[in-house]
Amino acid sequence: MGVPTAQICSMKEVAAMVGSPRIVAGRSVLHPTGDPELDAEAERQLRRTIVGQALEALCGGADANAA
Amino acid sequence: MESMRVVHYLNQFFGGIGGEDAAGAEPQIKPGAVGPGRQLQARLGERFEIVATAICGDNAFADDPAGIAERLIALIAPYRPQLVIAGPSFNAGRYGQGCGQLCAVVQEKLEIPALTGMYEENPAVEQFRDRVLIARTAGTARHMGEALYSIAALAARLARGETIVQPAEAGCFARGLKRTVFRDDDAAKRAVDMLMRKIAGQPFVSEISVPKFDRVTPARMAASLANATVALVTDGGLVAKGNPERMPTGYTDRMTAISVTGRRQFATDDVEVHHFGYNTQFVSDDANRLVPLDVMRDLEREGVIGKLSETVYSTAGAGMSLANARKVGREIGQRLLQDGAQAAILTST
Amino acid sequence: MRLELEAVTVRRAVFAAATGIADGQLSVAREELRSIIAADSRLAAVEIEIANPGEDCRIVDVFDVFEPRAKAGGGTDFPGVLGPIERAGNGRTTVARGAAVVVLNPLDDRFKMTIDMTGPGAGISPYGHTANVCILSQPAAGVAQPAYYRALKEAGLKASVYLGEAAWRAGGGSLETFDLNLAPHSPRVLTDGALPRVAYIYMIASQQKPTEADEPVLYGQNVRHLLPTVLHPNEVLDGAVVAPYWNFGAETYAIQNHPLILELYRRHGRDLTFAGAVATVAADTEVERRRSAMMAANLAREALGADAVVLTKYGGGIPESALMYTYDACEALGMKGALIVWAHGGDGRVESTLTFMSPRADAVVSCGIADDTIDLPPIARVIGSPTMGTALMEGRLAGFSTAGPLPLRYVAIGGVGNQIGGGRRSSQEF
Repeated sequence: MGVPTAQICSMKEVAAMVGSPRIVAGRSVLHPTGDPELDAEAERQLRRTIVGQALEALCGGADANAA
Repeated sequence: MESMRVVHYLNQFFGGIGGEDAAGAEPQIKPGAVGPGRQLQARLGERFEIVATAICGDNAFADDPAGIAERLIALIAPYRPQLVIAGPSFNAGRYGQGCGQLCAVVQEKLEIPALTGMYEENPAVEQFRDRVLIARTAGTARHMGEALYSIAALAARLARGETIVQPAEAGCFARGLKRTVFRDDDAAKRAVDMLMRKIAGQPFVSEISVPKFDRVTPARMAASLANATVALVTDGGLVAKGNPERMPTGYTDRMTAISVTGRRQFATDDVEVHHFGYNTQFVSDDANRLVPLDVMRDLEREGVIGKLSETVYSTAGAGMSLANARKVGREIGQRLLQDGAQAAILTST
Repeated sequence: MRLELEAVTVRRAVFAAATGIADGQLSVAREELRSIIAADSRLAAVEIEIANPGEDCRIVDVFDVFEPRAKAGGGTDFPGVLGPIERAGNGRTTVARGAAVVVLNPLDDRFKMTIDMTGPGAGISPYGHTANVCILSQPAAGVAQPAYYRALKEAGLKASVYLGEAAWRAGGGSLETFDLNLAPHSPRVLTDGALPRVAYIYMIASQQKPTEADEPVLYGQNVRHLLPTVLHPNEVLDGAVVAPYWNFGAETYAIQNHPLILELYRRHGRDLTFAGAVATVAADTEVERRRSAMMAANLAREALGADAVVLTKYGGGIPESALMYTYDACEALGMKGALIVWAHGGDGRVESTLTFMSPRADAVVSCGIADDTIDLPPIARVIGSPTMGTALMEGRLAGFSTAGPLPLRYVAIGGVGNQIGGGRRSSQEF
């Protein structure tokens, strides 16, 4: 009995090395689910896209590295 | 010269009490060498004397490792041993556990060296090799003779007061640890030397080996997303405003729980970010860049996910040891189950 | 390119009426140097101190260390920072060898070094063996941290030139020549019996803490989004690269005396041909790291004609990914690689040594466990703050007397944390 996970991170290779099953690329180490260089609306849209990839990965099996 | 006093440890089978039916046998001790101990005594020679043999059933030991080890120590101590040898246990899992546990406790409580032997696939190797000197043996007791030969050779080295600096070179399992050393040449020369050997196809030894990690079987979604409670977890150092739990910025074995009940997004007066491994300015300005609370609330309202779990779990992943990461991961996993979360999104910096 | 370093020996420093070098003694006109540094309006309360090898003295708050050097016979010192843009690495530079300029930062910061002039700390640090001219200051009223740090960097460079000029006036130093022609050549395979061409891929900064807008790293540029670029090794030795504010023990002094570049020079023409260097940074985004790895490997192969590469990194974490990507990209192009990295201590196990390691990284040199500690004994005299700040070592030493015993991480000892090849400290798996 466990909890399925999807991991949003910038250092995807690190997550892969330790066996994280579903890995989604974050924007940057400094801001995984955002980007201060974007305006508020575009940043929110970016965040939604990244979270959407994570949710999609959750619904798949393991090693479904979405992005 | 007085001989070195050795206590030998065996399980119920090698100790002559019985087979699987006697696996619940309580700790006991017999004077002198027993069973394979006689052969061990012959290998050790007259500079050693097996003064007693401690015995315990595998199941009894496995049911209460700490308690049994304590009781065995109480039985062993009066014999004033200078060395404890356990097993060898070859590929026997429970027996290996007992040998490893006893050796570890002997070293700690009696402050004398201890030594055992196992086959590489014995799970106890992974569990104890960082603390206990374990000689490599073959997989079965048919190879008792060679196993005792290696163990006796190691005992002779320990008896001379020698520290086994590189266990792997002494026929033992590497402890899997690292330590500071000073080498003869500076790093620049060593790197170029190593490269030149690599170019020439000559052997060379890397100073850092490629790590191997455990693999956990990943869980799968049990419900559809639209019915699932989804949680948010981060190792990016999110803490409640003012950091009331004094969460460290790294090197930690703790996590913190942050309630998001009634919050549509993170604001600067709700949370802070404490993490020494990266510049936290951008995520301090807007923590949704670290933990996407605002978007998850939108998705919850839109029915894309069933519900957002109301507690966010957070730790600072900087300089975190694997042992601490396992501990924190286990704690967060348990909390997620208690919270009824059916999936989690982790964000990492 | 041909660089001549004229090294005039210094064994100790003293304050005197006039600045000069004679018989291994560096005389420093304290007030003259002080006024040169204090002329910068961003700095207040400027003081000059001296610490000599063997003295019962500790320097804390160390921001950066510089070797005194001047191109007094012609040329620009530290182009792009102190002077106009000009090519570094050619002509003659005079060095006060054995002396160092140590700049102190009184602000609470996570990356400040300590230098002991005696005892175990001195034994492992190159700056325990140099005659150190220390510059203390405070930020002038209203000067923010980035502007202050820029001023500190310039102060160190100016003092370096000021003392380097003394070496030039003294003259008669020993001459070291660095003469390397990177062109012409063409990539070739390692079968023609010639010496293997070895390039150096040099990570000069990491952007996990983004450099400040005016933080001078490469010819004065902040290298915020640096794409890999070919550098002549002489440029590195001669002032084109200045240590970032977060220097992790790879101080400007270490760059001026870059151990790996000097080693490749020593072996040039003997068992290898030094093919040149490629500068990179560790970027904070995945795509930038991938791009940098690909371009650096391609430059080493196609522009420098390398058969093999040595790679080093800067700091830890992201740089390990950037380094390993670059290593893999080099090996994929058929170049053999060796790496120098520090080891993270973590829980003491081998698995926690690096954040990321390529499964193909089979030739790795360890320059020590970064977070292992060394016990520094109490000391008589302290240059710098009387107590430790809250930032270093996650506040574990906050409030400790700097004159007392200090259990410091190795990386917090000046000159000890550098991952560019200096030092015999290493780690061993067992």
